[in-house]
Formats: sequence, structure tokens, C-alpha cells
Amino acid sequence: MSIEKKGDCMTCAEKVLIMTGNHAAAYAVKLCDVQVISAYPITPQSPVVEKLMEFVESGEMKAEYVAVESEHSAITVCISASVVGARVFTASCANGLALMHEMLHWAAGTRLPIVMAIPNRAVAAPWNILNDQQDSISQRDTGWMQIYCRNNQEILDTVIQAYRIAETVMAPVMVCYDGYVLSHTLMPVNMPDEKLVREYLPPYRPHTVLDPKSPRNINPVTLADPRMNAEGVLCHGYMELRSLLQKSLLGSVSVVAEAGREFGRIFGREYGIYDSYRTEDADLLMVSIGSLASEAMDTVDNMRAAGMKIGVMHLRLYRPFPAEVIAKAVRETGCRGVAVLEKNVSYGYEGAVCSDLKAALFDHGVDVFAHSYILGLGGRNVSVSDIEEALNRSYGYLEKKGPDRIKGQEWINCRV
Amino acid sequence: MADEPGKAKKYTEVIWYGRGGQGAITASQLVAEAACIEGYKGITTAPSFGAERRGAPVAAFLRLSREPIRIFSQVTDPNIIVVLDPTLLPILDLRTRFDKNCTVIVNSTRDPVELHLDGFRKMGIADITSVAVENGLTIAGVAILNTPILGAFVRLTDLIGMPSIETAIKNKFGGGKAERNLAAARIIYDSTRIYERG
Repeated sequence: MSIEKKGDCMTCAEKVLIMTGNHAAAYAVKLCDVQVISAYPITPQSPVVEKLMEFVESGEMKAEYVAVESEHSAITVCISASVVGARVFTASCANGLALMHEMLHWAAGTRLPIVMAIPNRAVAAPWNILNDQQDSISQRDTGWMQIYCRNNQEILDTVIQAYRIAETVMAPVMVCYDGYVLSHTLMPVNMPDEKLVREYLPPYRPHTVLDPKSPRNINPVTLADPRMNAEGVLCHGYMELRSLLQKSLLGSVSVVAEAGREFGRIFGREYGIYDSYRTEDADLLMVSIGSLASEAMDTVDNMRAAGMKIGVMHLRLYRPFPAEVIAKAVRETGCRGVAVLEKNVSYGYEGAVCSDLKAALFDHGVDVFAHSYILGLGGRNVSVSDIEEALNRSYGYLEKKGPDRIKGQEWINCRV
Repeated sequence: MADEPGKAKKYTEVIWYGRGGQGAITASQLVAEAACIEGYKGITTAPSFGAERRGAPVAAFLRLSREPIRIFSQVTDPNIIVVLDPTLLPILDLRTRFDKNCTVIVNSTRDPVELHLDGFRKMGIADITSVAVENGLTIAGVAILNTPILGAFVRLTDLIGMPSIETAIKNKFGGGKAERNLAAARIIYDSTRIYERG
């Protein structure tokens, strides 16, 4: 992790280091001048926090590392530190993330800009320490924003953007990346200049600070209807406060877009709401979140070489779901169908991303089929040819009309 | 298999086999760092995913390319196979599982016929364990093979130059430890026996 040479960035001379996705997340946290870190180690997240402990111990980072006895306590420390005005970070996954579930709602409801890295891992039972995306998808409805990454550079850059987004929207952000597949794979990463990161990310200005000199009650019991507080001010009921959270999240798509554009201006790597590859004249779109969308670029190159018009769309921003942006993008390709490949299941239905995408296409009158494919659960290897197998199955539906286009979900490379 | 047989491969793919603690994963990472120094744009290396334990069979995967690499799946169709521990050969069954055009590098004192590895296009064999021990590269009595094996890797593959490997070793170890590792890598570079199919 010590090789240094000049990068290819046009606007700045960046060092290129070889590192894992976990260390990319840790370096980003250091660059963001995070003040409080609390986490409980869990495979494959442990190297993120081990690296941060090293930074704190050596004095490279002027931060407080709070060791705790569980993930529930880790997120609670983050909430407390954020309420008193600190920039905070945590990381977790799988059953550890599930243990945080109650407090994830507290963090979002309190409108705290906490950033959490999630090296995605399967949730037990049965026990499994390997990669899929069931953990973060299961936290989809907590009010946290979710951004997915395709490689280690995107992890580093996205953590930096996440603080800017969180502190603008006043909502917490999960930065999700595939456990092991990215968390434990070393690859070249351009390291942004710390002065430029400070220019991109101004110091955190909290909206409400819990301070003994100016006592206040944050999150009192809030009943159904608006009512007067002790000072005679009419305060929102629960529903109004929740409506404001929803409004902020729905309005934050443009904040994410702006954060990605500005990142491009300063660091030479621009980010959008989604990423597309060879979609311009595609008949079929492969849609996914995370590293599958990277692997699929090689699949699509192979299939294009065989004359099949297929493109890849990576839904970088998954919550809030940018329905209008995505529906418009799908319409503009002129494709006739989408195949959604994902490493999660909404048990009893289909892949969660597929359902969300279908709703967006339906609302915006985009008349294409959408097929759900499940791959790579619990660390099952996903090769270029596994993706090709799924895309081939949907490709056969391009000439079908109406209800004939409907096809049930399929599990690829599952030997039951 | 990620690619159909006979089709030109986009990336150079390497599998490293060893036992937990011998240094297969570190060896792969040192080549990755050396490749970074040499300006490769596509470099990925990862351990076989799961719970590694000292003494248990482990594998590391490495992909190299002059273009960025977009796939992270486990390598199933390598160009190069490196075996740090010859006692793994019976269970690895390389001749049945892999293409005969692979380059195979093995830590051993024997020859390809004795190892039942004749038939591969190119082989490099070196007594890496003895050189590691002679150069003081042991932890708790176990020979650490990660740096000496790199001498054989450079000699056999034309992918990375020895100066970049030496820089990567110096960056990782430093001081007297780096010197011992460098010495062992250089001895293996010179002493590797090369066998090519006629």
C-alpha cells in the first residue's frame, strides 16, 4: 500500500496506490477529517476500522475512536456524537447491520448526516460470511440514502461525496460495496489531494447542537397531531416530521447529481445518478447495482461482438430511487426490455431493484419488459458467462409482444 | 470458464497456491505493487474468499492488463499457476484441470516428470524452501516463501522486471528484513530451472 507514482488525472497530480476497497473507504474517511468513529468489527468490514484505528493511534487523524460492545452501540455513539456537532463515521454489514436496524431509523428521523460504509455480506441463516446485497437492501426503508460502488476508486470517491450529500440533505448515507469482491480485492486507486478535498467538503455545520449551555429536548414524544411546546410554539406532529424527511430525500437526487458534477470539476472523475455503458442503441439493458454492473461490461463486449445489441445501466443511487431520471434514461435508449441482475431477494417476491425499476417504468409509461434474475448469493462466484446466460434468456423475449413478454424470476447458477 | 477455449484472453491471469502462512497472498500483492510501478492500468489481486487458516490450502488470484480491469470473479482459466507448496500437487490435479499452455512454477527439488507435471508448455522449478531457510526467512520455524518465489515469477513470465519487484519488496519490508528478502529473490531468479515443451 505504499507505491506512489503520478496518476492520469488531468486536473491534478494524484498518487496512485494499490489498495483494497476497505482501505479505500478508510483513506476517504481520513481525507474527510472525520472527528468521531465508532464501529464493531465484523467480517469483511474489519479492515476498514482497523486501518482507521491505525490512523487515530499514529496521530495521522485527529479523531476519537470509540470502541463498543455491539453494532447497536456503535451506531448509537455515532448518533450521539453527530447530535453534539461532530462529523462521524461507522461501518458494518450483514447481521451487524441488522442489529443496528432500530437505531438506523433514529439516525434518519433525527436528520443526522452520518456516513456508513457497508461491504455487503449475506445475512444468516444459514451462517455465511461472504458477499451478497441482502444486508443493505434489508435496510432500504429506514430513511438512509444508499449509493452503490463498482470498484475501489468509486468507494473512495463516493465516501467523500457522501459527506457533502449527507450534510446538504441532512440525512444519513450508506456507501455500499460488494464484500470480498471489492472489500478484499486490491486494485489501483487514485488518492485525491487533501487540500482539494477540504475545498470540496467544507467543515460540517450542524443544524441543531445539543449543548449543556443551551439545553433543548431533541426527539421528545411526538404525538399524532401538531401541538404547542412549553414555549407556546406550535410544533409538527410525527406525520409532518416524517413528511419533511420524505420530501428532503425525494428532492435530494439533484444534490447527488451536483455533488458528482462538482467532484468531476475538482478531481477529474465525474459521477452521475446512474452509469451507462454501450446503451445508446441497445435492444436489451442489463441493470444492476454494485460490482455486477462492472463485470457485465465485459459480458456486453462479448455479446456485442456476436451482434447482440446490449448495454449496461448501473443504478448508483438506489435510495432515494431516482424514478423519473431512470425511466427517462431507459426510454431514451429505445430498448425493448431490461434484465435486472441482483444479489438480493425480497423474499416472497423478486429482486428488490427489479420491483422498484418496474414501478418507475410503469409510472412513466415506458413500455418495456423487466425480468428479475438472482445471482451470487452467499458468495457464489459470478463469472462473465453467468451474466451472459441471464442476458441470453431475456434476449429471446425481444420479439415477443404483450403478456408473452412476462417471465418469472430466475436464479442463475443455482443447483437446486 | 470465463472465456471460451482458443479465444484471445483480455487479461493475464495468475493463480497462486500455497498454505496459509507461506505467503501466497503477499506474493500476489507484491507483483500487483510492482505492476503499479510499471504503469499497468489493470491490476487486481484477491485471496480466495473465505476464512483462511494457517496451514490450510489457500489461493490468491491476480489479473494484469494494460487496460483497466472490470471483472472481479475468481480466476478459473489461468495463464500462470504458481505452487508454493508441492505437497498440494496431488489435490490440485493441475494436469486435469488446466490448459496445457499454462506456465507452471513450482517450489520443489524434483523435475517435471517426477512431479507428474510434464506436458505443460513452460515450467519453472526452484528449491524455494531451502533458499528461504538459508536467508533466515522463517516465522516460528515455517519457511516464508512469498519473496523468493518472485524471482522465479519474474524469470518465467516477462510481465514484470526485477527492479520493480525489488522496489515493491523494499517498500513492504524495509531495513535488514528487505535485504534478506531481496537476496533470496535474486538467488531464486538465478537458480530456477526452466523446462519448455519441445
